[in-house]
Amino acid sequence: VDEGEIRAQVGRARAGGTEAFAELFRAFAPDVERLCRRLLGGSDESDDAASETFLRARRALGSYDATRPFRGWLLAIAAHHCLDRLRRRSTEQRLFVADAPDPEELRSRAPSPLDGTLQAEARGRLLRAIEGLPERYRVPVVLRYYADLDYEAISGLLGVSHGQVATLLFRARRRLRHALASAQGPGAGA
Amino acid sequence: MSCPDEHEYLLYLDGELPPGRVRGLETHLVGCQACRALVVALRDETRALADALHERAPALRAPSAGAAPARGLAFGFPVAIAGAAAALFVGGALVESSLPGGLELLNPLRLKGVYEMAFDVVFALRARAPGLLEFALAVAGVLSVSALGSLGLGALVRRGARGAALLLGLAVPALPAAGGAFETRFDHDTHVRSGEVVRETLVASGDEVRVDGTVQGDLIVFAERVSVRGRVEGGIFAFARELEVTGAVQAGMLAVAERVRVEGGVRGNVYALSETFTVEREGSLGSDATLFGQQAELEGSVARDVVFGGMRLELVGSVGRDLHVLHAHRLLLLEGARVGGDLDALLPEEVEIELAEGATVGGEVTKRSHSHAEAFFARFRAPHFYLLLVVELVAAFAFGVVLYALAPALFASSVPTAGAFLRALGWGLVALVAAPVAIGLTALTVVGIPIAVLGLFGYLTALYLADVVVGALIGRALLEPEAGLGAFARALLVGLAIVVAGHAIPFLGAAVGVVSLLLGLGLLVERARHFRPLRA
Repeated sequence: VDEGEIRAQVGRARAGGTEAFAELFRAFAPDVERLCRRLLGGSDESDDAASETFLRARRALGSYDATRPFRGWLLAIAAHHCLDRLRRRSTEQRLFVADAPDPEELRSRAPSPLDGTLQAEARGRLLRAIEGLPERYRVPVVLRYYADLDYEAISGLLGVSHGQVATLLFRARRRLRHALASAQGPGAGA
Repeated sequence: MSCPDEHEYLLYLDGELPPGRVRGLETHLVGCQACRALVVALRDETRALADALHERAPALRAPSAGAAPARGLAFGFPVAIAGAAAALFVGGALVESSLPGGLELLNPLRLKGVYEMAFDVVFALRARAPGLLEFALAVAGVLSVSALGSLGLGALVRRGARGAALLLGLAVPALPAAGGAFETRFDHDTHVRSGEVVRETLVASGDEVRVDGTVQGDLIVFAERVSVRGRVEGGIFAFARELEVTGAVQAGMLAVAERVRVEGGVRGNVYALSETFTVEREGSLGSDATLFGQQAELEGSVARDVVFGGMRLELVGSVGRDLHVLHAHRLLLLEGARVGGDLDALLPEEVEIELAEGATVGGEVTKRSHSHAEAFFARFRAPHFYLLLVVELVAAFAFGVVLYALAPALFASSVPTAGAFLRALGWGLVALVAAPVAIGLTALTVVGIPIAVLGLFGYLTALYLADVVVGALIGRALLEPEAGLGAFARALLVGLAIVVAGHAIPFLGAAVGVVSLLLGLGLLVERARHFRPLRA
């Protein structure tokens, strides 16, 4: 979608245009829904979270800085909301701290067997592997590589340091490589 | 300096490294191949993550906004040289030919001045910086092998590293063996004196190469001026500014030169690409002559057929059999000229055959026009034209499907932006111009001949493959196929049909062909640049 057009829509929505906001909703609902699904897992809860995101976004529209991308702003709201839900779900206090590396994970040192030319099937495998990650690794991966948030924003959302974000992402990749390598079996092509 | 760890490179790719550390990292990357490979792998992994999370097909992806890894000086320098050379060629050609759009660029007959420029560049380098020329030859060899060889052998390397290793293993010992059969002279001034006999093939390079004695093998020569007054019992292969044959050549002659003058006799077939080609009154060519270039003057005799393509042909002497003219702006048969067989000329409409009194043609004189609209549209009425299109389509399709089964990565290119499109065109142009130059120069080193042959094979394959790659690209963009050979085949068929039909469009077809060729070559080059035979 054209960035200028979005800006115009946001302007009209701010002025109280219901139709304009509905347009924005239609344009970005798939993205927001997908982010909620990635963060919360596929459930009724993620649909709720997506709807809630748009309610919050409408209320917060006044504080939106029009010089920043709208998608990023909207996804940050969604991420924030989903993280609240995750925290409520969790019994553990320190949710986003890297745990001790398991020896299996350390063994998969080589860069991923996946390259940029992913076919649909391999893409599906990778997506399932991401979904299979523990929350503490899955969430930063989704925030960084789906919502395109930078480390600063992620560290704000998760309440951890910049360095911790880097560590979580690094460890997440290792786990993914290991998960994929063991699923594919040795010697399987990319 | 020890290599930075993966953690550091992840920060770098995510754009999270402080600027001060970025400098240091990039400096290291320039010199460290292993780290460059790591960065490329990590970046691909990032893309794969983003693609999976977005559930999108990679072919439709915009380029990642992350920092591109430094490719390094080691690679950039030869590319810059090749790019500059290509730009010179193109610029010179455009100025000289003053053609709109430069679509006639690919017509080698019209590049007057380009010949001279090419020779100037090569010989200036040779005179002023022989070390640099050697370096360029080495780079050309390495480039042509790495770029073209990796395309051709890519599938083999993936499917069976052993097969490729075997091939290389066979090629390497063959090089010095091939070199051993020659006598080589790389002097400033090479002179085979009268009475001297060289018993094998002579490979000579110098400002001036003179053969007054006898060479019993072939004469392979790269020099500014070459004169053969003695006897060559084999053939002549020459790259020279001036080539003069006043003696006798028992076999044929293959010459790329600015000026070729034959005053003696050449027994075998003659193939020449030269600005001017002259056979003097005393000169004789004992077999067929195929001459391309600006102009040719034939005062002496040619025993069999002459095929000419260029701007001006002047015949004063005799042609034993037929004279075929593929293109010319002046075709003169002066008094005393004699053609034993037919004269068949394909000329622009406004150009007439100038047949002087006293000139004779034994057979028929036929002039055909290739720019006449009537003739142009006639082909669209001929059924075999469409049959050919179908054959072309089927062949390309079969080739593409087999190739996809062997090396799917070859078709993984995407052109997400106008910038990427232009970049691909640029690479295509560089490959189109630089590869033959590189192959030619490699062949001149003699020991590089097997490499050059391999390169030539790869080049021709790449030319053919260009359309197939573009077809696949178009098909994929239109159909967005899922994984699998069947889906790819459907997309390829649709895309190829569009490309083949595009070639057949009147007037625009040539432009479509050029764009498709450049784009396809460019995409192949980009795939080759990202090709990583090592599987960590």
